[in-house]
Amino acid sequence: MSLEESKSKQVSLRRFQRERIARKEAEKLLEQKALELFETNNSLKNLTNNQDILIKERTSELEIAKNEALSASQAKSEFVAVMSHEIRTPINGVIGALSLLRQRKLDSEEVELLEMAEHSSEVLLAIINDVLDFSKIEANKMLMENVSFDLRKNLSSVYSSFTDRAAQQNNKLIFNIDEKTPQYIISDPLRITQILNNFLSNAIKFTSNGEVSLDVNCTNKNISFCITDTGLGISEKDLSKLFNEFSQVDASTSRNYGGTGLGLTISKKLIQLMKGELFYSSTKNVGSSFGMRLPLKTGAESNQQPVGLHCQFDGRGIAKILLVDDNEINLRIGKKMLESLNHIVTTASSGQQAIDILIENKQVFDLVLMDCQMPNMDGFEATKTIRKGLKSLPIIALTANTSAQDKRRALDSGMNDFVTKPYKLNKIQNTIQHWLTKAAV
Amino acid sequence: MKGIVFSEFLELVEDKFGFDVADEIIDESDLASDGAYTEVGVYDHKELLTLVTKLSEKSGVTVEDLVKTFGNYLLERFVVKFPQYFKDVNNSFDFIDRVESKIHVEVKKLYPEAKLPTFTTNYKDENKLKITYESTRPFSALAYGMMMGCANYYGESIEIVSEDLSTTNVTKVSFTLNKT
Repeated sequence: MSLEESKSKQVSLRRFQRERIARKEAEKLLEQKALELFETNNSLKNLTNNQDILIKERTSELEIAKNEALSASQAKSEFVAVMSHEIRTPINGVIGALSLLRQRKLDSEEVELLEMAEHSSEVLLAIINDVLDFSKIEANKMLMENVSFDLRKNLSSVYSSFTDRAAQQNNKLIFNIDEKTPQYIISDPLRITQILNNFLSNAIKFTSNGEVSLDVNCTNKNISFCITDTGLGISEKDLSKLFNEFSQVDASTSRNYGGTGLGLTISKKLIQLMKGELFYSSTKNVGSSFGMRLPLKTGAESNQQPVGLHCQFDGRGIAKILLVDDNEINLRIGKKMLESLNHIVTTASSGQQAIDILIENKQVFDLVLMDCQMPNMDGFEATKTIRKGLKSLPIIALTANTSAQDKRRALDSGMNDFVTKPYKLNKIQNTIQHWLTKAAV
Repeated sequence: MKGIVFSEFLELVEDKFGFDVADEIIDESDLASDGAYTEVGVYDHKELLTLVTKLSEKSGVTVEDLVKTFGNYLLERFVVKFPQYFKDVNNSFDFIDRVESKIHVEVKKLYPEAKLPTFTTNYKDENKLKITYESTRPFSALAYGMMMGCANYYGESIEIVSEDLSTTNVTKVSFTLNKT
């Protein structure tokens, strides 16, 4: 071999050796990387598995929590509904019995006692209504109506209901209603009245020998109601505490002036629910101003409106009445009230019994007074069944619930009218006479 | 410095100067790695400097010119080996502008310990690009060569002016590229 060839061979050999070293190094690196990859993959797999398990656990926890929340919400609704009925029933008994007592010959001492009892029961009813409203709002079960109603008529009733109270403290009561205020608006008439009542009664309560005024104003978009008084006024410090639940600004005021301290809180929440704005201001010893601004939606006269009680107390019409109520005391008091009006009363203590009397036995009546809330078969169900056989018999709902929703429910089931419990003598008589007159025509 | 630079360099030497010369410069350089480079390995950059210096002695071409030429060649090799980086771009300025943010970022994901030079774009428009190269290693000429290689690949004609801003331990060069 020549020198050239030998050198060439050596070069090739060295080159080959370098290649081999480089290859082995590459292989080593490859092994290393492969191992790292495998380990990373494993970690990832474990992580994914853990995540999956975690997700499953969380989902099932959420499911349980959701069901618990739903249950609790349901329980709240039921509580509010049941309490509403349970509490109002005995109150109805008290007010009804007092109402009957009124009719008897009483000496002045007895009259005084009776008046105290009546006043107390009215206050009690107001307090109970406040507490029930408050708990309904807290449970988020307060539903706002959106119906068309006669605002001006409503305001007129409110005015009438306050004239006496205003006069008692020697206050002037003034209502200023802007010309632009529409006759009908779409809102919740019950709640608007409730708020106005709250503001007005506060204004009158804390004002003597002064003036209380309600101003109603309209723009294109809003309607505002503002109650102003020239009464005691509220200090700045107390003003900030005003809308806290259960606070009467001065502990002594609740002793002197009465009240639960819930009224303003409820008003504030109702205004919020109506998507409105509350405003207020006050200066000590000068007076206060409370109001609300609500979105204005003009309404129209609606035929859905349940019949009002406009007829005069006649006293002439004598009716054969079927009175249906599951509560014994309500039944006894109701019977006595109706008999004191010279009506002939038959009682039934369940919806089924009423159906038996009317349909099975085919007894003839002029009018039915039907309690709505009864166990097993409620007044609505009973009415639906009765209507299958008797189309024109006036059936009047007796109900503690006064929402437009409940009124509609009564009308939808075939009832003609409703009276809210607890009811006074002349109120029930007006209703009876109205329907007797209608039937006669 | 990653093995790919070494292996590509040796292949270029073998190609342009022959196997014997390649063997000689390795043999005479007394390298720790013995010149056995694999692309995926990591080796001391000083070995490359030694090899280039030896080649310069043997060929008579300056170290700077050798490195610039290698840079040009290396870019062409990168086009073959990593075509994905060249697909979305159609001109050298855009490519060079993205070396830092698109390419070096990817390299560091796979090789977190890699020490790469940094490129900072100071000015860029249709006809002019001003970019600063910074590194702890003295290979600005390689960057120069690669930028020329890039312009060649995109069929452009450019002129590169370098301004050396280096300090003792840091190589810092400001390159101004002008389209001609």
